[in-house]
Amino acid sequence: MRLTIKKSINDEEIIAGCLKSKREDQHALYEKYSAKMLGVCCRYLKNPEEAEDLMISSIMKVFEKLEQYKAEGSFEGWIRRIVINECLTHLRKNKSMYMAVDVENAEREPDYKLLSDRLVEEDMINLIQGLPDGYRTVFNLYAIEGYSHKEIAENLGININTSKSQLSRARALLQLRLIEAEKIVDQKIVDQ
Amino acid sequence: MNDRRIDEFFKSKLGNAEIQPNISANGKFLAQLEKRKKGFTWWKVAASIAILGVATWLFLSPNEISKTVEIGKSLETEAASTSPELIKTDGVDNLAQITDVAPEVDMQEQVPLITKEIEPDVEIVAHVQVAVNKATIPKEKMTENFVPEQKIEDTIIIPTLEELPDLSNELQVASNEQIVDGKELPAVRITYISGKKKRQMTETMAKTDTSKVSPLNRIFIGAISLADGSLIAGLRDAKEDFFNRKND
Repeated sequence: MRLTIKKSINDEEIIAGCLKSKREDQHALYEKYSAKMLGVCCRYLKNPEEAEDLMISSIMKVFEKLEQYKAEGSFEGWIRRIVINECLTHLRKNKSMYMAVDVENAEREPDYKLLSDRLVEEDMINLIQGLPDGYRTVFNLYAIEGYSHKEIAENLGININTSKSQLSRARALLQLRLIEAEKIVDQKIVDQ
Repeated sequence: MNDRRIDEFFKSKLGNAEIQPNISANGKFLAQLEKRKKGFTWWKVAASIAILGVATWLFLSPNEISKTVEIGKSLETEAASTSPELIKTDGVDNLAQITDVAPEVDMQEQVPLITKEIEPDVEIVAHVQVAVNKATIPKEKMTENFVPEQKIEDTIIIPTLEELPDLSNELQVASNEQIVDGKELPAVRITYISGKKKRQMTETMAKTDTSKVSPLNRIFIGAISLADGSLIAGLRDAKEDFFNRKND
């Protein structure tokens, strides 16, 4: 049996090694950030295999652009921006992102505390992946990444009002689905 | 308020969500890494092969060059004797004047032309090199009016095919080879027209503004005075070959 000991390498060492194209450090970067970046990709893309491929190609892009990294912010944040940009490029290239779907407003607010205890990350990702591409993209950028509507409009090549309306519809859809999820959770509690 | 709550709910749950990639993803990553590295290596290999190819072409072909030079050496003309000014100054610069094409010279009026029609089906590529042996002329004699007895030692016609006919008797220098009204002729152009396609190979020996000669060209020009087979002479021949082929 072969025993492997993983040594923890900090970002500076990884960056220095990757700049010298050292295979070991490139693999260390993958090991350290692949799960986090796949989490990002899965929020933007429905297909898990597609998300995985995009995560890998984004890390390759990181190697290509590494010389441009100026250590001004966190390394993880820098990688995340590259991954998000790759996702947006992929979505723009492959799909028509904007589709108006009539969404009725929810009658009530879901019980966020109950849902927070009962829903796992996978359920939440499934909820987001169920949104149409445009809604999902704008919601991700605004609610999770913290982009402004102006930044979203610039990144996606849409106008600010479109961004706002897409976000509003995304929220309404998510709220409806959270209420449905809440009903299922309630039913399970009763069954128990 | 409602909007903020739903945003925060998703952000808290998914902001730092991690999803472990499949085991196969690691293999895909390594394969892409390998592909990226290979791409880089192939670029290097391709560059090395190209450099080796050029080096081989330049340095392993002097036999062929010297063979053609042997043929060419037997053909001597008086062509350059119409331009005594060509040997007034430094040898290398003279050669620059001889071999560089002067775009500003009005060829119709000032340049005597020597044209040779060659039998159809005989495809030749020839160029003329004029070599001046500066060493034979004493410095003190190099005045404006000095006309050396043997101004041009060699006019070498180098064919790329061995069937070059003996042109020595037929090459004629233009009649006005003397200094006319104290004004020397600025240049001599020798033209061969060959083959069915009426290809025209022209080598012009003209007075050129040397300031317009590029440094690289100066190296090639200077190489004319070097022995065949040497590094720069090899480059010179390669350059001439290249441009002759291009003209074809």
